[in-house]
Amino acid sequence: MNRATVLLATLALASTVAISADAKITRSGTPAVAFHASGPAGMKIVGSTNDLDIDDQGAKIVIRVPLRNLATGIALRDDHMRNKYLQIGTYPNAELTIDRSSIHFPNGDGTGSGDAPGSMAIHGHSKNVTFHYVLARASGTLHVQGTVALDVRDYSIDIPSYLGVTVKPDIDVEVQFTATE
Amino acid sequence: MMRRLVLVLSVVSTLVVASPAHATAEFPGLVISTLNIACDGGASPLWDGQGCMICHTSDQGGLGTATHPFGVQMRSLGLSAFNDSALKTALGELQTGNTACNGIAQLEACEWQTLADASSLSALPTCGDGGAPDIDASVPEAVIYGCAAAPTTTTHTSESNAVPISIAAVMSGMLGVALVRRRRKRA
Amino acid sequence: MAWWVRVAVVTGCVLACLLGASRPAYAFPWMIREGYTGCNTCHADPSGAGILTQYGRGMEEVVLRMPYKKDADPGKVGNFLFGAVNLPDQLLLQTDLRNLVLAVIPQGGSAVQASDYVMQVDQSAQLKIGRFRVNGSIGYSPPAGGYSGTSIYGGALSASLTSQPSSWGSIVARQYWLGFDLGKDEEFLLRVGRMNVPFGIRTVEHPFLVRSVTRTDTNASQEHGVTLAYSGEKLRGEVMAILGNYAIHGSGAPGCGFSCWDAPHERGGSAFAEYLPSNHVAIGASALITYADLARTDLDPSLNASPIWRHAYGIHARVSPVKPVVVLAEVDALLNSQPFAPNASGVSTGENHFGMVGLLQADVQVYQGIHILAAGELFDGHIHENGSECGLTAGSCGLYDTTTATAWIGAWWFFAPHLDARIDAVYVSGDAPGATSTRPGTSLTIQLHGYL
Repeated sequence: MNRATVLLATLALASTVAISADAKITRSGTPAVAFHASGPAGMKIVGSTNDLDIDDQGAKIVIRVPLRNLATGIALRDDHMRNKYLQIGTYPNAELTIDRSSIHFPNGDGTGSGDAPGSMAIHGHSKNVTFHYVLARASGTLHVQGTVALDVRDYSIDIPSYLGVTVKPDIDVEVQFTATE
Repeated sequence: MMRRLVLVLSVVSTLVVASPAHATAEFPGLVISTLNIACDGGASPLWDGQGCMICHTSDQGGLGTATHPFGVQMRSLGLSAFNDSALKTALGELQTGNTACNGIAQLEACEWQTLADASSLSALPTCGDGGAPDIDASVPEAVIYGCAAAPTTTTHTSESNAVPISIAAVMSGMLGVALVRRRRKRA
Repeated sequence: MAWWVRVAVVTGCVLACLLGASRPAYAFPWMIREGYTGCNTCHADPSGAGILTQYGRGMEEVVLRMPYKKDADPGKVGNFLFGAVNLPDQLLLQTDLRNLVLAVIPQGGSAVQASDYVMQVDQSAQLKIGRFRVNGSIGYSPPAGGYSGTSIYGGALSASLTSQPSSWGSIVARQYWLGFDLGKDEEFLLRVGRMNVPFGIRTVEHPFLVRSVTRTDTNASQEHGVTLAYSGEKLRGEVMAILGNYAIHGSGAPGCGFSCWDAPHERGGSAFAEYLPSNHVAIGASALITYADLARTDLDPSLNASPIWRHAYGIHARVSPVKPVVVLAEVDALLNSQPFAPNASGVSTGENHFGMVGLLQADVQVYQGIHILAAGELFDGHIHENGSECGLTAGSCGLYDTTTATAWIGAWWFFAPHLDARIDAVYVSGDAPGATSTRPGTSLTIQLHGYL
């Protein structure tokens, strides 16, 4: 194979990768966002919502979760969570901003994973976080799973407490969604 | 306020409901008719009122109180509360002699009270040919309810309330400590 | 008011309140539908049932009771005495009143037989200072044989403090214990005293065969002993060293002494463990082994009045596939092993009683505060002869060689703060040994419960 052919092949491959990494990502399907909190002596609270938007800004990707439908299964607790602690009237969303370049997209169909840095903004406060992701591409559709550990105190959220039961400040967040390129 | 009063009265009123009687009050009569028990001069064999004490520890009967030896024996033959057909079956077992014969001959002789007075299986009157079962007298044959203080007595003493009252005393002391600590914290 | 006056007043109230009554405790394993896999958030007893914590009272108002105002904060109405008294945070008080009307259509009998049971007139309390707790309940029960001339009955014989039977009833105390919370999150609780036996699903329906045959119900089957409970996010459980039930004792010939007095006290252990893979699934296993010099023939007349090893091994599950529905299932294997001894009929047998008992229950919350319950049970028991005849009924092995099925359907309405009502229809096909609360035939029960 002569040098010209090798050069052309390399450019073609690079452009394929560049096209995949730079292709605008749009959410599709129904996402799932959940947080896991715990209380004293084994108490668990799981909250979830199916609201999630992706704002692909090119160099940056913003994953935005509207909190208005975040629910734990008990209406009064949801009311306290949204209005008393998260104050969604003022801070309606939680946002994770990621540098596109920090994500290892799989070449063609396949799976990529890793840990990446991002900036998490909740309740009007931002903090750098490290999240874990798994990307699986199949026929132009990306299946994404991500997890991140948060401390509510980093976002000036009061530690929830009700009738003598106090929730621990550490929570784990899981996100699943699909996107098209 | 009125709603609360109505609710409280509703609760209290349920406690004084006395529904129509009858646990297994028909059992003594059924024993008499099944075994054709007749007493001299037509006297009633039910010496104790309702006749429940051949099995039960009181004439009111009641679940869990059929601990007199004849009651224990009948239960071991399949008798259960409210079950008339099981009673007839158990009485049949006694009559056919498939079990050790305890007392049935005496029933026919109208000595109902003998069964109620029996304090153990070995004390039940026996048939002429069967003989009493060989029961070890050192083995306890009944369970007594209620905390008796000492193993050598079977009478109830005030010590039976010792544990909960001592817990009440501990709680009172702890409560006093808690209130004192709270007062100091406020100061 | 001077602080010492307050101490005296509250102390007096506590003492007065403790002159209460006996109680089978409420336990709601179907709270798993709300994501509560463990019991210790709502109950002082980490394995469930009994006196409610402040949070438990709040949850009774928020998720259990029928709501008349949407999403309203319950305020203080769920508190002790409807919030009229502010208790210190360390103190829990609860007064329970429960009455049951029972109508039975017996097998082989003719007339419907009705009676009234005062199930619960009871005061319980817990005081916690730091990690140390004192907890107890004491109450009153009408006579097991009923008030003279009436059909008003009591029970809880095995939890009676005063002698039974009697004409006036008895003082009963089902639970009393000292406890110490251990661990960084107080996830362990060490207790000594009289407590519920940890085994299987802690249901409120104490006549369920899985509870009554294994003698692990919350009515009167408590034992004295030492327990250690653990409540974690993925695992919970409790282990108990059983030292005996000292609310009962043996009798015998005069002069028999300590050995007769001590004979029916079981010694051994019981434990359960539950794995909690999610907020709506719990899978567990239990084991119980005890020995006593005298079998409880008052509870199970199929046994001999002789020493007994009693075993029970079970698996269970609590699952809420969708929020309104909870399915509870339990299967237990039973073994009562006794040496050769004469039974009540005087025939010597050496017997191993094998049995299996199973429960399947569904609880459907059709609307918050209204539950429809359905359950089915099966008991199957056999006697293994050990070279001698069973001697009970010709051609069979007697009372224990039986198959019994039950079917339950009920409705439960938590209609007001501190109040609930329940109606159940139960069919029982036979008399499972040891199941003293069931009776062959069809019965209808109506219960009203209130607590302060």
